[in-house]
Amino acid sequence: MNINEKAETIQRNYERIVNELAKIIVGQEVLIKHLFTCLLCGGHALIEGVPGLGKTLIVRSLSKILDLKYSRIQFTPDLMPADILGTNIVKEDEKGSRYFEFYKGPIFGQLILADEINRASPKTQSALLEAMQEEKVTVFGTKYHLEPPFMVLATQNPIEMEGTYPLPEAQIDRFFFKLKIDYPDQDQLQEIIAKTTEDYQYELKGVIDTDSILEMKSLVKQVPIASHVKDYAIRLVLDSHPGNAHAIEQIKEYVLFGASPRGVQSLILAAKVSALIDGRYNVSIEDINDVAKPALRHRIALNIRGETEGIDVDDIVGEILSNVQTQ
Amino acid sequence: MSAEALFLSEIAKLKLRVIVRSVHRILLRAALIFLIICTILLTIEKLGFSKFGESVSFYVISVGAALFAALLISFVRRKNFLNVLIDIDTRFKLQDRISTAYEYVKFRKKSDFSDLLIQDAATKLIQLSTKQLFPLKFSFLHLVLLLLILINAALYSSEYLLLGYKSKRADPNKAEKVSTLLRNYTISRPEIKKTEKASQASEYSKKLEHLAKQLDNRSITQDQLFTSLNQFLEEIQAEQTRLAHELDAKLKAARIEEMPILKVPKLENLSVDKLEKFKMLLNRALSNQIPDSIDQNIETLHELHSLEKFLSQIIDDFDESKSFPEEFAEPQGNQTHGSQYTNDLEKAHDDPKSSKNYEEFLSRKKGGTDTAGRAGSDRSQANGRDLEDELGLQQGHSSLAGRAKSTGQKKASDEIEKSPGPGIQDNMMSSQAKNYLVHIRSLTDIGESKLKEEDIIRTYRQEIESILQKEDIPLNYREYIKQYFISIGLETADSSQK
Repeated sequence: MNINEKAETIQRNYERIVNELAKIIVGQEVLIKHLFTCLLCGGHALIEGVPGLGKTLIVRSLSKILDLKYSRIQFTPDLMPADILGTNIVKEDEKGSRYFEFYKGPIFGQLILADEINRASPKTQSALLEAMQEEKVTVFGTKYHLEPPFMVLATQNPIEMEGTYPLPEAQIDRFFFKLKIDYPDQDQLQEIIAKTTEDYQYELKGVIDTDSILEMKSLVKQVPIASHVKDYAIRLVLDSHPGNAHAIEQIKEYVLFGASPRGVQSLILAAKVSALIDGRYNVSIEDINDVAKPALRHRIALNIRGETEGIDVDDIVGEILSNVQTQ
Repeated sequence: MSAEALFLSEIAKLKLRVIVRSVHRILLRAALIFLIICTILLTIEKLGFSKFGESVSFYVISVGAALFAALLISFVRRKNFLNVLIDIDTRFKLQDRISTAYEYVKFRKKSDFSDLLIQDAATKLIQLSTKQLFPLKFSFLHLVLLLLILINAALYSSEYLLLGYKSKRADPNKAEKVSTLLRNYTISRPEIKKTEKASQASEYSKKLEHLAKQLDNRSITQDQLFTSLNQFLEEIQAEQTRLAHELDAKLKAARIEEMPILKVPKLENLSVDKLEKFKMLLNRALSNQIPDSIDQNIETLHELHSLEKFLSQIIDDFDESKSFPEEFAEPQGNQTHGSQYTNDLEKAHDDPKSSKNYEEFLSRKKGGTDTAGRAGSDRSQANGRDLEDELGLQQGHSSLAGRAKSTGQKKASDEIEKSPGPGIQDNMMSSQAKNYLVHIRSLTDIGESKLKEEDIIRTYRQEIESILQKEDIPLNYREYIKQYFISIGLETADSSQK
């Protein structure tokens, strides 16, 4: 298969996923595209949305379509790290001698759904850190590699804040994208009703396998990107810092700190996937703009004033985009 | 052709187009700067602060400065070719295909997708025409250029239109003055005997009258008047030559040359004064019996000389005004050059020296032999002496009235005019020929006269009588002239009594 065919495969696979998910998921095309982007970039996504919008359904459906090992972790305040990572348990052999055997936790999957991640204690949440960053876990001094492709899809409820533990900045930065599920409109609700309350039969098929995903992942980094596009992405990230000379007034007033270097990495990689999905062989500024909000919104931390005034980070990112384009 | 070669050929076309556009911009900016400079300097020129437009070096320096400035601006604002490609990408929504491909080709960057990208970019470029890539836009700069061209055209054309108008339309004051001069001349012309020459002279009068009428009606332009006057002058000069030849022939026929006391000069070259002197000498030689034909011929020549001088004076005045046409447009205080010219004419009219010719015409009404108009003129006296020298005659000094010293102290004419007292009043001024401007030297100092009027008149009378005694006046004229001066004295006495 030549490079052209490989590039076309990505586009084709994406269309397959969208079409397959459309059987059960109504709307949410942008979310699906971003999830696919995360998958090809080897990143993890934090999905935010009010209950009942189908966050869990999407992840579960995706695991079926992608033919990946799916694990679901329901985060609760009493959830312990071992419940996620696994633990050594004492076993006894036939001779009666005892030994420790590592019992793998749910993290040893390929597509992990960390449901309501903000409900677990920070200690438990941090158990995901190493796994998410290095795709390996260390239990009692022993390192265990996670099977690629490894992808954590965490969900959180933005409204119910009581009894929750907001994710620490270090952990939240490890998420490639923070995705938001919008409320469906009337037509979409009609369709949802039709698919869930009537005799609607569907069967999800695996459209791509692990090898295909890994092959697509290897292609992403080859996508050409021009210097001025890179500069644009860098300016975008730098402008999110309140101390930057080109920072807009909103940033200076409401932002505590801006996006980390992971932000620009996310922008570039995600833009590359976006270009491939679009059938192009180069990254454009439009690609950067497309992925700017999911890549930056969780990396820009609002200060007290921003929090109390209810400033939406998406609005700030939008302002940064407008400002960078006119520079 | 490979994708890269195809892409590079398209890029080469683009580069060529960019160079053409850059040259266009440089020229546009240079034109703008040049026109801005021209507008500013023309405005300054219009305001009368300085003059630039007539100098060739002004245009050379302006164009050079504009080109230099345009090159400098273009150099400072020069665009990287990559930026041009980015601009094309943005305008045609090519999503950075061209710029990325160019960068990968130029810097030999390697990627699995680079070939595909270059091919894709080349395909997109081929689909775009040059007109699409570099459309001919009517930019703001073009609009400014157009405006500046219009402003400059207006500034230039206003100057030329104004000049054209001024050169075509005779200044009303000037026209009126010239018309008055022409009319005065025709009115004050002497009564010419009813002969064939008289009819010719009246023809000239008619011409002058016609010109005066045209000027009154404003139906003639300044140029046309100038041409007419020139033609008229040439005509008169030709007639003068012809008459001089005719007179010469007549003199020869009358055997005047054979007379021992008279040597006939070249008549063609004689001035008015010399001609008059010649006539006087001829009269003396022939004992006041000059043949009518010769006398009339000399009279006509004299007449034509006067007319020639009169016309020359007007033409000279016109020439001066035409040499500096722009001065008409430049106000000096509340007085324009047109009115300046009129003033000049007025001055010429009032000034005894400059208006000598004109006054001479007016004096002609007193008769061809009346030399009062020449009284006080050193030049005419000198001319007379020259002629006498030329003719080989020494007739003694002719001391005219007003030349005699009363106190042995010469006074300036203006001082004389200001000197009060009845003794300074020129009786001739009371006559019709008020423009004679003949001054009889005051016998008293400037200020209040301490002499009695009778004493002054007596002194004058004695002086006149002594002049008459000395003067070579034909015998039959002496008594007549004496009576004339006596009558003036009596008149003055009468008027003073009144």
